Amino acid sequence: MMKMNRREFLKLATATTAGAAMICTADGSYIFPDAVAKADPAAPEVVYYNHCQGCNSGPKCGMKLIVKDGQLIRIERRSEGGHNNPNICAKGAAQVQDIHNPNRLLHPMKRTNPKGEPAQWEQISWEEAIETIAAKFTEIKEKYGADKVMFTTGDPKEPRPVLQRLCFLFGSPNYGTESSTCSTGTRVASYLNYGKNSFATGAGPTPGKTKLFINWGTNPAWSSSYYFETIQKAKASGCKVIVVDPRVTPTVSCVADLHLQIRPATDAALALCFGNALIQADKYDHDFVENYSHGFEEYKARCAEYTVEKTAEICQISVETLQKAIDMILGVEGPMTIQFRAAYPHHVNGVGMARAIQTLIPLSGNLDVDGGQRVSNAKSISLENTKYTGNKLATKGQYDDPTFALRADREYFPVWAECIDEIQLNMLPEYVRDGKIRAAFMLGQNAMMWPDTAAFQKAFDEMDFAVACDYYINPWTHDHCDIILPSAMSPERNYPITTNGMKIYGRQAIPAQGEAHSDCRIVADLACALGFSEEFCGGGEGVEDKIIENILFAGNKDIVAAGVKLADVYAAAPNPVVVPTEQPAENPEKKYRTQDNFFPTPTGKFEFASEVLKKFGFDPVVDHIEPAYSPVSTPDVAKDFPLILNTGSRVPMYVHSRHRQQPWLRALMPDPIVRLYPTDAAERGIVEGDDVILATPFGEIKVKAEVTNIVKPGVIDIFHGWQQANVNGIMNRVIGETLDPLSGFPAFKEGLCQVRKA
Amino acid sequence: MAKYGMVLDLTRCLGCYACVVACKMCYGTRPGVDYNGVKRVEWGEYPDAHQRYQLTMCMHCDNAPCVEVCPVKATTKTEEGPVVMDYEKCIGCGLCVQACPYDARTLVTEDETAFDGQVMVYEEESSKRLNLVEKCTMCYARAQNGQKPMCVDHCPGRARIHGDVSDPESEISKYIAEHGAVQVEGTSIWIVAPADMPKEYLPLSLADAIAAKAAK
Repeated sequence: MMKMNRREFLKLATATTAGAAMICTADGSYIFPDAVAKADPAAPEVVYYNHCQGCNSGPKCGMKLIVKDGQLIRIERRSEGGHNNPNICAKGAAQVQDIHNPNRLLHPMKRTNPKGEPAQWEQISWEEAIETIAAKFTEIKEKYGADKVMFTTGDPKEPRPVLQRLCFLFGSPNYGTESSTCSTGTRVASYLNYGKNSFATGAGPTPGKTKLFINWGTNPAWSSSYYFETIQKAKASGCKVIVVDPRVTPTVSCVADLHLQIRPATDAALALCFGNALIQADKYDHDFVENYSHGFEEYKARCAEYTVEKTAEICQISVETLQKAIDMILGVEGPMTIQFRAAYPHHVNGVGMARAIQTLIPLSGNLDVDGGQRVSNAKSISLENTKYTGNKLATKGQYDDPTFALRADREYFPVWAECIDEIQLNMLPEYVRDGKIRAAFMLGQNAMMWPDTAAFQKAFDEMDFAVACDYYINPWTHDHCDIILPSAMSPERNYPITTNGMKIYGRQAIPAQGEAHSDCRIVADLACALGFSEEFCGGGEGVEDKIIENILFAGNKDIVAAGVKLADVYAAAPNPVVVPTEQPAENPEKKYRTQDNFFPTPTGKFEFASEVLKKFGFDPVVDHIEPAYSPVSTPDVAKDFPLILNTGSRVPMYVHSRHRQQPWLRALMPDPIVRLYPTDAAERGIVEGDDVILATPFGEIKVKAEVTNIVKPGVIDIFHGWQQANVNGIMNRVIGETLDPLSGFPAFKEGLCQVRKA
Repeated sequence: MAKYGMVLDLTRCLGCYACVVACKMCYGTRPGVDYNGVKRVEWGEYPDAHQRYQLTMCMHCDNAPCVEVCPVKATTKTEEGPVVMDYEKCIGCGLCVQACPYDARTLVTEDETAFDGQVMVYEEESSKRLNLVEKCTMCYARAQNGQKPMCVDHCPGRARIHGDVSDPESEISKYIAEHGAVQVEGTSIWIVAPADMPKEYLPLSLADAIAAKAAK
C-alpha cells in the first residue's frame, strides 16, 4: 500500500460522501443533511448510520435509522460505506418497536419490599442508584473480600470488556457471562485439542475454494442469516454440502446435498466413524499426524470401534446414508471444512463431541489450507482485545495468581477454569450457598437461561445485594434483585465502535429514551464511584467516546501510528476510516509447520489424547458416551419419559428470552410451542394447536403443540425463554449427569420427556 | 415505461419472516393486517421429510378482479403493473376482498394498534385507516423513488428479486432467464420452485385461482 499522510487517507475514505456536510447537534449526535428526505420539509427524515445488535452476535449488520422529530420511524438496509452488508432480518427491522416501546424500563428503580416477592419499585435518581450500589459493594469488599462480588453480562455481548475491566480493578476474579451456556464449551474443546481457543467452531466454506462443507448441528438460516449467503455462494460455486441435524431445518432444505438426521447426543460416534473412514482409506494427513500430533494411535484405536454398521445404529441413520456421507468425504477433490456452533456444548459429553468434530479438520489435511480452516495473518483491528482489560486475564499462569485462586468455579469445573478466563455460572446457587458470592452486578442477565432456574432465583434472593441492568422489567429475574437500571438499546449507543479488518465504522446513536444509559456508561459511572475514575475516563455523559478514544484507540498501535481520532471516524460516516497499514504477505498454507509453538498444548502438538484431561483424571481420548438419561442408557426412565428433549436452538423471531415485547415479532409465535412428529402426536391423541403438558422427571410446563415432520420421530423440539413455560426450569443440575463435567454446560439437547394432552 | 415484476425464489426462502416484519415496519400496519405472508408447507415422511415455505402477497394481476369490482375506483392497476389503493376513495364495501382469488386483501374492521390504546409514531398514518381495504402495492412509491420494495430489501436469503421485467438487461430479467423462473400466468409474479415441491403448494394461475375461488 502506498504511504499517505493522515489527511490524505481521510480524504480518500470520505470521498464517496462528497458534499455530505456534517452537523453536530447539541446532544452530540451527527446529522447528514444530504440524507434528509425532501418530501416533508416540516419534519425532515434524518438518517443515522448504526449497526444492528439484534441477535447478540455483536454489531453485525449495518443499518440506516430513519428518524423524524427525534423518533425512529423506519429502518432501512445499508449499502453505504462499502458495507458488505446482508439484508436485515425480522429482529433487526422490529427494533422500531423496541426503541419506542411503552413497556421499556426508563428509570433507575429500587425495590421497596423484600426480594422474592413480586417487586414493588420506586423510581430513584441515577446518583442515588450508583451511590447505593458503590456503598454496598465497598462494604462487602471490606467485610468479606472483593471476590465475593460477581460481575456478569448476558445479552448483549458488547459491554463485556468494560465490565471485565471493572471486575478486575475491583479485585474480583468472578467475572462471568452468558457464555456459561452459549458456545464457549467449544473453546474448551479447542484448548484441549490445539492448546488455544481459536479453532473452537471450525470454519465456514470459502466460495470458489471449498469443495465439501459439513454444516454440523447448526441452522444458520435462523441463527445467523447474515452469514447464510456465504453458504449459498459456496454451493453455487460447486461446493457440496452435508448437513448433520436431527431436524429438517431450512438450512437442510436450502443447501443440503445430503442430510444426516442424527439422534441427538450421538455426534461423537459419527465423527469417530468419519475419522475411522479417513484412516482406513489412508486419506489422512500423514505429515500432520506423524510430525505435529500427539496420541494418534490411541485415537486410531478408538475410531476403529466405530464401524459404519455400529455407528449407523447408534446415530439412527441408515447404513446407506452414512456410507454416502463417507463416500463424499473420501471422494472430495479439494478442501473440506466443517462448521458447528453452540449445539455441541449442550450435552454431558459436549466437549467430547466438539473435540471429535474439530479433529476431522486437521486429520483430513484441511487445517490452515485455503478453503479449509485457514489461519489468517492479515492484520486487523480488534479493539476489544487491546490493553482494555489490562491483560490481567491471561489464561496462562492464572492458577499462580492469588486473586484467581479465589475463582468460585475452580473446585467444580477444573478443566473449564484451566481453559476459560471467566467463571462457569451453572453452579451459582452453590457458590452463594457456600458464601463465595454475596453480591451480583448483572447486565442483561436472565435467570431463565440456567437449568434448574428456581435455584438461581433463590440464590439472588439470598445474596446480600443484586443489581440488574435491562431494557424491560423482567419479573422472572428482577423480582429477585434490589436495584434495576435502564440500559440504552443498540441504536441508542455509540459504543462500542465497529471494526472490520482495518476499517473502523462509527456508530451514530439516536437519542436514548427516558433516562436510559448505555451499559458502557453505567459501568463507567459505577467504576468512578468505586474509585476508578482515571481508568474509566471520569464517567458521565459522553464517556463512551472518551473510552473509545483514550483506551481503545490509545491501545492500538496501528491507530496511534496513523493518528486516527474518533472525530475522524464520525466525520467519515457513513464510510469507515481505513487505517493504513502494511499488510504482511499471506502466510504459506499450514503455518504450523514453520511456526514455533503453534500448538501450545502440554506436548506442543495437536493432542488426539489430551494431557490436560489426563492431569484432571478424565479419559484423554474422545469417545461416544451415551447420555445419562436416554432410551438406551435408562430404559426404565424412558418408559415414562420416552421422548428426547431438544431445546436451546434459535427461531427467526426471538433470541433466547428477547423480543417477546415487540408485537410484530410476537404475532409470529404468540405462544410457547413444542414440535412433535405426526406419529408421536397421533399416538398421544394430540393435534396441532392443542394445549399440552411437557413433562420431565424434574417438572412440567404447559405449551401448545405444533405437529410437524421437521423433527425426528421420538425427538421433540421446544424453544426456550418463555416466562410462562420455562423449559430450562424443568431440568436439573448434576455434574456428569446433566452438566458436562469438563465445561459445566447444561445438557439442553439430550434429556428425556413426555408430552400429553393438557 | 418500466413494467415491475417480482421473482419469489422458493429455493432460497429461509422462512425467517424478515419480509413480513419489514413490511409491517414500513407501513405500520395494524395487528393482523399483513400485506404478505410466510406459510410453512410440508410433505413426505421421515426419513424423507421435506419442509419449505409459501410466500403470499398481492400477485398484481394483469386483469385484476379487484379492480373490476371496485365501485369507486379506489383500487387501480398502474401502467407499471402494481395494483394500488387510494384510501381516500375506498368505502370499505369489501367487494374486492371477495373478488381477490389470492386472498391478498384485508378489510380493516378493528380499531387496534400494536400497543393497546396507544398510537405509536409509525402508526400515525395506518391508525387513520378503518373500515377500508389495505393491500400490498409492491412498494409502488418506493419503486418510483428508485428504492426496492421493503420485503426485497430485507430478505436475508435474497429470495426476492424486483425490477423492470420489460428491460432484458435488468437484474430481474436476467434472474428469470438464468434460473428458469416461471411466471404465474396472468400476474406480475415469477416463481422458482424447489424441484420436489408438490405443485399444489405453488400459486395457481389467475384463471385457475378464480375458478378455485368460485368452487369454494
